[in-house]
Amino acid sequence: MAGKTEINVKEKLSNIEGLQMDLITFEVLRNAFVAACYEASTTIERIAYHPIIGMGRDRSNALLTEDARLVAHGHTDAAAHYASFEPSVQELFKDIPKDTMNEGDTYIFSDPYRTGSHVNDVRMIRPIFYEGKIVAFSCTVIHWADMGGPMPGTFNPEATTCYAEGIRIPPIRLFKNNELDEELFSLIEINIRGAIERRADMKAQFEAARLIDRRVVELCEKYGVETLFQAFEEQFNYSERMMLTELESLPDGEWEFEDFGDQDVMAEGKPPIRVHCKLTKVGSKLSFDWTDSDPQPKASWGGSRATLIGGNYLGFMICFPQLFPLNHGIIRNLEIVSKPGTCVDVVFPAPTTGYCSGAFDKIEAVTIACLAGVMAKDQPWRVYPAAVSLTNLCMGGYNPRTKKDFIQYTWAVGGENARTFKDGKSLIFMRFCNARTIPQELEERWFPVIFDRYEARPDSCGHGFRRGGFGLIRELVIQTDIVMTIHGDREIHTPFGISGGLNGGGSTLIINKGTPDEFDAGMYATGVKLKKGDKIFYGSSGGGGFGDPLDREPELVLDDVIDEWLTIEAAEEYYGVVIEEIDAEAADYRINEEKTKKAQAKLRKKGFKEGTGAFEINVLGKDIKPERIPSEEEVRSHLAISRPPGW
Amino acid sequence: MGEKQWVVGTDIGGTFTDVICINMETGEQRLGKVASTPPTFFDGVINGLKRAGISGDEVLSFRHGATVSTNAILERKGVQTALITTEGFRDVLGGGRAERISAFELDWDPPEIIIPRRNVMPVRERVGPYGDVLTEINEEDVLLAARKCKKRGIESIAVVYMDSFMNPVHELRTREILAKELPDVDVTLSHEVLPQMLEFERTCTTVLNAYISPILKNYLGGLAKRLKEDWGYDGPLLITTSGGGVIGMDEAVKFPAKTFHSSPVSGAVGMAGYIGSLANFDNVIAFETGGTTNNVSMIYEGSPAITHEWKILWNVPCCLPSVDTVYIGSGGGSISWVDNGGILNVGPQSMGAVPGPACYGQGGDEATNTDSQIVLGRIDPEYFLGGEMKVDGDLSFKAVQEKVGDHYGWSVQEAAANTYMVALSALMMAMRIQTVSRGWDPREFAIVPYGGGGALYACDLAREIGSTTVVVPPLPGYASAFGAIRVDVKHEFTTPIHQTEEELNFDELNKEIQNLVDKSHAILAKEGIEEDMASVERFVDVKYFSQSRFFTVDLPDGELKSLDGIIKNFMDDMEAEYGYSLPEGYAPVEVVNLRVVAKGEIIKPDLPEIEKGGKLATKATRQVWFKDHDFLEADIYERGELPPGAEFSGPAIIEQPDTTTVMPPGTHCTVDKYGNLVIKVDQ
Repeated sequence: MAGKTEINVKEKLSNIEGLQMDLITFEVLRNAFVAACYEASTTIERIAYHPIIGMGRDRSNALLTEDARLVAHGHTDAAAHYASFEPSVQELFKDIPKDTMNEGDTYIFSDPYRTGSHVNDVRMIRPIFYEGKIVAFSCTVIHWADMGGPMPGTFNPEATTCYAEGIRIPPIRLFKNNELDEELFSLIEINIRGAIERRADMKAQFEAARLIDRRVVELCEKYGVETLFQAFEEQFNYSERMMLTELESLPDGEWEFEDFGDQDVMAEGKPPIRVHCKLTKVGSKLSFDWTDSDPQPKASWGGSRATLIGGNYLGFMICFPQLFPLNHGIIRNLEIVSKPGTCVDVVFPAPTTGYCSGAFDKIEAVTIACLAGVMAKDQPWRVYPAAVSLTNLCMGGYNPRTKKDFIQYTWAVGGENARTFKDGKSLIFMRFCNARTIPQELEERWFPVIFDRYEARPDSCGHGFRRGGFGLIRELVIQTDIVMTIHGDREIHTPFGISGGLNGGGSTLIINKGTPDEFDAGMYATGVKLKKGDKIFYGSSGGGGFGDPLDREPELVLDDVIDEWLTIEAAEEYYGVVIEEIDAEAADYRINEEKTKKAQAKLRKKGFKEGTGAFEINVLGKDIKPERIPSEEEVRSHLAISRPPGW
Repeated sequence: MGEKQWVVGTDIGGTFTDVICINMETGEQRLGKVASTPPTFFDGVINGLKRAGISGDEVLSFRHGATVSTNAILERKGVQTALITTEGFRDVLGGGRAERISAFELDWDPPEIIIPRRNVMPVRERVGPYGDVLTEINEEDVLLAARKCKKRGIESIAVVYMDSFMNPVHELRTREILAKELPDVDVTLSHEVLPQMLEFERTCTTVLNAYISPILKNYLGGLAKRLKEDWGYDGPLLITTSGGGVIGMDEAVKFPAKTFHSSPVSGAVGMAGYIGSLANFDNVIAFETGGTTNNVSMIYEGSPAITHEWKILWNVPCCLPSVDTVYIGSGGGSISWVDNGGILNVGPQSMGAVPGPACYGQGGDEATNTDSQIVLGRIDPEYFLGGEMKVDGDLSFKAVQEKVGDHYGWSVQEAAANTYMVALSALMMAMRIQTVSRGWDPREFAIVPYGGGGALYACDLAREIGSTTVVVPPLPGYASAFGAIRVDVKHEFTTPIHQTEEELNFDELNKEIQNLVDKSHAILAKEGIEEDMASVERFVDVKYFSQSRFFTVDLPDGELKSLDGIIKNFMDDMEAEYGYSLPEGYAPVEVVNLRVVAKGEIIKPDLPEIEKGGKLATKATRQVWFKDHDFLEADIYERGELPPGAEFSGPAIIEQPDTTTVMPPGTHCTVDKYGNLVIKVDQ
C-alpha cells in the first residue's frame, strides 16, 4: 500500500494532546473554512467579466479572524494574493477603527505599500457580523485588468514612481449597508480603462465577500460563535503542531542563496538586481534574513514588505505542502527580516506593478533554495530548482468587433523545475498560483488577435540528470493597431538549476521574427506601437534542471528526441548523446554508442559554463545536493494533495 | 415460448456482471449475478442471461451498460492512437489548461498523456474564429501523417483542427484522404464529436473517442453477434450513456465517448431517481458506496444535474453531457490514519478488494471503514454477503484498536465510532456542496442509497443535511442494471453560433434551430421511436460577451425574431443561481450555442409489487452503536422477510445479502408495496 510508510511516520510524530475541542467538530469546521473560500473563488470565476478572472483564475479569497489573522484560503488561489491579506486587514484597521464598522459595510483597498502586490490586485474586505458583533473578516481580491496610468493594463516597466502606475486606493467604505456608493466608485471609474467591465468584476468580488459572510454566519448559527472562535485557535494550534513537530526533526544550520532580476531598466548601465536570503534554523525556529538584498531599483521590479512575506510563505509551503492551507499558525512561526528600501521591501514612491514578474518569484525560489539545506537529508524529494516566472503581456487598442477599446492581459505558462526523482512538468503554471490558461479559441473571439502557435519550445529546458519542463512559444498576429507592453524577467538570468543541473532557457519576445522589420523587444518593452498584421513571438522560460546532464540515461534523451522536445543537436551538445535518424516517419532513431562515448568524454572534460544565464551551471545551485535520490514510488507515498471536494 | 414479454437490463462491472429481467405482462423478475469475464466481457453477459433463464426470442427490449470504455481509459488499454492537428498547436492536448491539482504540491504529476507527442502530427491549415479559411489545408502534410501512421501501427486517428466547429471543411477533407490511404483505420473528427469552442476540451474528448473507438466497436459487435447466435436475440441493442439515457448501437459505436461512467449514472438516474419518485420525491440525492469511493449525484425536479465538463481523470475532460457525479475517496475499504497534527483521517488510501479490510483475513492489517462498522455492531461478520463470504470480526477489532484506538488511548469502540464520524463528515460536506452551491435546499431531497454500503450512512446523513426521508431500494446491488431499463433514449446536439445580439441574423438562426430539430427527429426515428413518443427540447447557451461561462436556458417557442425572451430567461436563471443578475443592457449578450435534447420514451418496467408476506418479525437483537447514543439494543430484520405495509422504528438493522441498512433511533420505516424501505428521519 502506498500510504503505509506515511501512516507509520505520522503515528510516531503525532501529538493529539493539544487539541482542546471535539475532534469531529474541529474537522468539520476546518473543512468548512476552506470550502467557503473555495466556493467564493468559484463564484467569482463564474460571474466576473474579464477572461483572466473567469478563465485565468487571477483571484483569491480568504477568511480572517476579527483581529486579522489568516484562517484559510481557497485551493486554487494565488499565494501573491492571500499571503498578504493579514497586512491588508491590519492596515485597514489603522485608517478605519473596527468600532466604526457597520453590518453590510465592505471596503475597497489597493495600496501596494500597505496591501502588498500591485495596484491591480484590488482587495475587498468585509467585516462579518453575527448578533451585532464582528466575528471575522473576509478578504477577496481580483486582478483588475486596468487601474489607469499611461499604459493599457497599467503595467509600466519604465515607471520610476507609483504615479506612473495607475491609481492607488486607500481604504474606502465602498458599500454601505450592502449598497454601492456610486459617488465614490465614480472617482475610481473615471480613472481607469474599461470601467464598465471593472464594475462587473467588482460586483463579482462583492458577491464573493457576501458568500463567505453567509457561510460564516451559518456556522455561527449551527455551532455557536464560541465554538467558531475556538476552532480558529485550534486550527492555528493544529497547523503549528504539525509544522513544529516536523521542523524539530530536521537538521539545524545556516544556509544562504541568491538570485537575480535581469536588469533595472531605468538605472544607468541597467544593472542586475540581486535578491539574497540567509536562513537560520535552530530547532523548530526558522528565520529568513533578506537584509543583504540590493537596494530598491529605480524601475518597476520590486515589491513591498507584504509582498516579500507572501513569497517567503509560498516558498515555505512548497517545501511543506502537507500544511495546507496557509494560516496564522504557520505565519506566526516564521521570522522574516528585511530592510526598508531594498528591492524586496520597497518604500513609497517606488513603482510596484512589476513585482509579480520581478521580485516575487525570486523570493520564492530563493526561499526554497535555502530550505533545501533543511530538506536535503530527510526529505530529498523536496529540493527544487527554480521554475518559469510570470511575464505580463498587455495589449490595448480599439476592437473593431465590439466597437470599443479593449485591454488584453495575458501570460505564457512554461517549464516547471526538475524534481530529484523525475523531470519537470512542461507548459504549466508558475508556482505562485494555480490558475488555468485562457483557450486560444476564446481569446481570439474576445480580442483582435489570431494565434499561429501555442506549442512547446524545443530545447528550452534546464538540462540535467532530471531535466526541467519546457517553455511555451505563442505566436500572435495582431488584427488591429495596438499598443503593447511586455513586463517580464528571466531573459538573462534564467531559472537556476541545482546539483549540476543547468539553468532553464530564457524568456523572449520578438516582433516580426525573420523579417526585415524584426525587433527584439526583450522583457521590458513599454508602449510599443504595433500595426495590423504584425506578429509577436512570445516565449517563456524552461524550468531549472537537477543533476549532471551527463548522468542522464541515454534512452531518456533518445525519447526526448523522438518526441521532438529535444533536437538531435541539443542531445549531443548537452548530454553528449549522439543520435542518428534511421527513419523519421517510423519514429526510428538510434543512439550511436561509440560516438556517444566519445562525445560524453569530451563534454565531461570541457564541462558546462558557470553562470546565471540560460544552460549554464549556477555556482551556488551546484552545491545544493540532496543526500540521495528517492524513487518515484517513495515520493508518491508522501504526496500531500490538497484539492477541493469533487475535483 | 417465443412470446416477447421481457425487458432485460445488463451491466458489466470490473468484478461482477449483473442481469435483471422483468416480464412486462406478469411483472415477474429474474436476476443473474455472475463473475465478469475480461477481456471477452460479452461471455459474462451470456452467462448471466443463462443464469436468469431467459432466452433471446422472449425479449422485447435489451439495454446494456458497460464499464469497458471507462476502464480502457483508466487502465490505458485503448488502441494505438494518433492525433492530427493544426500546425503550431501540437501541445494543446499535453499542455491542457496548465493547472495543478493541488496548491503547493510540486511532486504531483498529471496522468500520463494518452497520445505521446511523437504521434501528434501537425498539418498546415487554419480556419479562423468566424469560419473563414485563413490557410488552405496542405494535403502533403496529411499524406505524411498517413505514412507515419501506417509505419507506426496506428489503429485509430483523432483529427482536431482549430476552430473546425465553425467550418469543418479541412477536417472533412482530411478524412477523405485518410480513408483512401488508411482504409482500415478509424477516424474521429472533432467537429462531429463535440462541435464546440475550447480547443483543449474538444481535443481531449475527440482523442478519448478515438482511443476506445475500435475497442467498443469490437465489443458491441461481438456482443450483438453472441446475443444473436448463442441466445437468439436479434432486436435492437440500447446502450447506456453518461448523460443518463440510452442510445442505439450505431450511435454508441460512432461516439463511444458518450458511454463513459454510464454504470454509476444509470444507477443514479434509472434507479435512485425512480425509487425516489415512488416515494413522491422529485429531488433525490443518489448515493452509492462501493469499495473505494462514494459517488454522489443529484436529481432535481425529476432530472439529473448535468455537467458539460466531466473529468474522467485529472486533465482528461470529456465534455459531452454527463450526469454530474462527485467521487469521494472513502468507501468500505478506505483506511483510517492519524496525521502529523494528531487528526484522524479516513481515506483516500484504500485497501481495495485485495487484501481488503482487515476482517477479510487476506493480510490487510489496516483499519478500514468496513472494520469500524463491524466493531460498531452495524455489520454482522457472520452475515457477510448473506453468509456466503467468511470474514473474521476479531481481525477488525484488532486493526481498529491498534491503528486508531491505541494511538489516542481510546477503547476499540470509541476508535470505531470516531472513524465513522470522520467518514460521515466528508460525505456530509460533499452532499452539502452538491446542493447548496447550486442554490438547492437539501431539506427538499430524499436520499436513495445503493451499492454495498450506502444504507449504513444514509439515515445519519439525512439528519445532518436536514433531509427527512431515506428510501432504500429492494436491490441496491443491481442499481446499474436496473437503472439501464428505467432510462429513456436521450441525445443531445449542439450548433455553435458565437454571435452577439447585433451580429445575429435571425433567419439563419431559425434555420439552424430547425436543422437541429430535424436531425433529432431523424435519429429518434432511426432508433425506432414512434413519433408520439419522441420529444425535442430546445435550448440556447447564452452569456455576456467576454464572460467565460454560459447559461443554458430554454429557447422560447416559435420563430425567433429577437433575443428578448432569451435575455429574460438568462436574467432569471442568473438570478436563481447567483442570487442577483446584472442590469439588462449592461453588456452585449452573446448566443454561444444552440442546443437540443431529443428524447424517445421507451417501455420501462415498473418495480414488481411484492407478494403479501407473513407477519413482521425480528430475527434477532444485538448491541449496535448509533451516533449520539452509544450502544443500544437494536432489532435485526431480514430484508427478504419484510411484508409490504410493515412499519417499525429504529434502533434497527435490516440485513440483506447485498447491503445492510442502519436505522438509528428517531427513524421510522414503512415497507411499501414494492419492498422499498421508506424511512422517515426525525429532525
